[in-house]
Amino acid sequence: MAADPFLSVRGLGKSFAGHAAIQDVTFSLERGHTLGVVGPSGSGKSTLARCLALFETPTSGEIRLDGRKATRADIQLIFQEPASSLNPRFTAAQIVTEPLLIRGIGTRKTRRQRASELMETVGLPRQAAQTPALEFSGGERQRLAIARALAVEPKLLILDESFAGLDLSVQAQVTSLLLDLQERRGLTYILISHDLALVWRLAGEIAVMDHGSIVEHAGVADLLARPRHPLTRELLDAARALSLAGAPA
Amino acid sequence: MRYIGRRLLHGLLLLVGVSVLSFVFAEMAPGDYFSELRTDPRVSAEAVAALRAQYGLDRPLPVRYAAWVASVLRGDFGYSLAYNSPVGPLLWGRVRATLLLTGTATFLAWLLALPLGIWNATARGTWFDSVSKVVLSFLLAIPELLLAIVFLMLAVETGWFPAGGMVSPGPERVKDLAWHLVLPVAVLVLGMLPTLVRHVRASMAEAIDSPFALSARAQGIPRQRMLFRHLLPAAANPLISLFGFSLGTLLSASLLVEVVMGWPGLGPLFLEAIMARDFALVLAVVMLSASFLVVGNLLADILLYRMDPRIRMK
Amino acid sequence: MTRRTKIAAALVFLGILHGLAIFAGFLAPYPYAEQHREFPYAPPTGIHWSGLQFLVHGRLFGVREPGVVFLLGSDAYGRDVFSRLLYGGRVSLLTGLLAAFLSLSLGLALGTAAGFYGGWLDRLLMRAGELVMALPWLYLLLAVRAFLPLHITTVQAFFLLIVIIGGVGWVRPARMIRGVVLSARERGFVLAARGFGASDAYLIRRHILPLTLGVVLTQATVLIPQYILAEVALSFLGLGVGEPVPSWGNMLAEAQQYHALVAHGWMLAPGLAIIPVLLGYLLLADTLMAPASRAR
Repeated sequence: MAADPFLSVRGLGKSFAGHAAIQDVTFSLERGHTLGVVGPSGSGKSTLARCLALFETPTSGEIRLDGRKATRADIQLIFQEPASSLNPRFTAAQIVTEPLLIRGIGTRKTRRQRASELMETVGLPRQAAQTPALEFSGGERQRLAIARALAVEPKLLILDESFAGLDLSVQAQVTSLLLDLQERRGLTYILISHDLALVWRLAGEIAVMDHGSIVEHAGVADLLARPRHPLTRELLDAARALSLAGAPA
Repeated sequence: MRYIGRRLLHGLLLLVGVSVLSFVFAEMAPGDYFSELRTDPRVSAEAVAALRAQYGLDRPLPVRYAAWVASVLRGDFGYSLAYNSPVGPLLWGRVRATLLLTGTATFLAWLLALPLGIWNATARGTWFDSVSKVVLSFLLAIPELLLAIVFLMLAVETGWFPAGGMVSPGPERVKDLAWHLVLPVAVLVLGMLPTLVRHVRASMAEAIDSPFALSARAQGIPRQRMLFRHLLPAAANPLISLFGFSLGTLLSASLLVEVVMGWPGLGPLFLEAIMARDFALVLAVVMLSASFLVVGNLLADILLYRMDPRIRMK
Repeated sequence: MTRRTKIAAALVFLGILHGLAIFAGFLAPYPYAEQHREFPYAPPTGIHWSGLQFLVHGRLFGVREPGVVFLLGSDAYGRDVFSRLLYGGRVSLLTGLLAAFLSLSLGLALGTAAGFYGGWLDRLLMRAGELVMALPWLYLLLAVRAFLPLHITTVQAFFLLIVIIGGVGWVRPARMIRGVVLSARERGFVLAARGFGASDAYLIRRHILPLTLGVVLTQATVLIPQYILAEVALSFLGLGVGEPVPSWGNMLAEAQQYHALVAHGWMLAPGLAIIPVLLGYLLLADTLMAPASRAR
């Protein structure tokens, strides 16, 4: 008998005022892997992200992580805009340790140490710990957001359009950071984006969403070689036309 | 039209609210017109109680309120014990006096502020702008109370203007009235001018700098036409709102000026009513002043509605 | 002049003016109630350095009896106007400051509650605010004063004025703070913190309140002078602080002897003293509210 998958999502649905934003979403994901979720605007990607990150209570379905019901301690969400998800007046140290402060974990001293560790982990200089957030660049702020998400040692990270607004070189840096973290710590990612070209670089498998449901879910190579759903084909064509790096055929 | 109806209803509800609150506060207030009598040892407690009952001051609150509303709807505003007269007649003369004073002052103030503000807006950065900013700031820092006292002092000293009051005996009523108006109106106008000019200048400056004005200028539209047909309407919205906001300040300033300069408006009446603890009169003046604000704001709303198509879209 | 210099200059200027009033007990040559019946309406005496004594009776300066030093003349009872001006300033300025503190505190509490929680609380508070604003401010103050006992001690009057003026003045600050809180509530970092499990109290304390500071400060510079004028008006009308404690308001009431006022110009001193105070606050308010042109 196969072991239970690390992340198991079954029949997930969320409705707002009678209108279903997502319905009957089912998939599973192994530890240390990355799932990319793509689709046009309004396909329900963000709602899925929020439900997975436990920001919203689903109207139906279940999310199980590591054999039991998922809790906020295990899953962290990295928001769309690094600029607004960080309080510009907070120092870097304050930002990355805020989850610890809120949950009452550690003392001021241990939190200060943790701040340095976390900043180092994401490749930011320790000395910058007391610098206010507004003095960091967009890419650096996204790193701070990642560091903050890592503070509570989550098992699963949801990245919701986290690369929007970052220029390509910065995107590449953050991408390699994420890959590095995944290797070192066995983190599992769910990457949500409308940009298929971005996703196929990071993800091992891709789910395509349309009007609140998953219409196709396959490994990257498979999806790129043999797309089954017409929407998938559309997205692929668009991505290939725009992509400078050239997509795998 | 429905918009105006809604604003009217809103105003009426506000007045009802004010009346209820005032009634409740008056109820909680220690003592009434007859309290002073109580301290007089020659007047017995029973006599005071009898007087109270005679004027209905001993009935429960909701009953008194209902009776008051009923009488107001009939046009009867209660009885002033201090003046020993129905409240209504006391009020109308005073209301007219205050309206005359504040109306004239508002008219003159805007008459002066508009050209000054427009001139400042077009002449931004010049010496004229800087000088006028300094002068107006200084004027803003002069309390109207002080101005009123100084003007009155000058009137007494020089005899050029009557020293207070509204009318002097004799013929030529209009001319006499005008002479009496000069000083109080001057104080009010000087008090309003700094704020008005500042706002006119700001609104005009914004209109002048706006993209549509720039393109109009590029098209070579002559200045007169620009001013009246394009810039002023654009600047009108915030200015009309300003009119609504500044009503409260105007009436408050007018209260002080009326008291100092002996202008027989609502202000002195209010003060006397308070000193005499004549709550019927106090209540009437409170309702009147609130009504002034409601009506003034309603007028401003109507004006805005007519002038600003965006409001009609809502 | 840079923004910072202007603010510093205004603060220093205001500090000096307030300081003069605070140290009235030391700087004034006479107690405020001391009468010299033999010198009613005496014009300002010059300073004759020979007769001047320093640090007498616990005060900065004075003169040996039977000499008098009335720097700004005396009033109808022979009381030193300069001394009363300083003591009166203490009353008027302090009332303005304390009333502003009260109304800003109320405005902060109510505005934050309304903005953060919204719903019925917000609607209730905004309706209450409309009721308060339904009357012109002086009529409102007088009406509230009317419903309170007429004859009260001066100490009671002082605190009563602060409570009345501050108590009805919360509406505009509350509305402005409510606006700030409404937009702050939706900011990304607030949502993120909420996601970490932050309580409402934490969010308000750490993220939202700091954003209201700017509004609170600018409102303070606008309200304090208004409240000083309110105290002056009420005391002038006889409904505030009364004899024998001087306030700039009741001193101005004494100046209403118009037939002789030109000859006794110094009686206008309390009114003139208000002008620099208002100018100071005006400069501060203008500088704070002008958009900061910091390139960032």
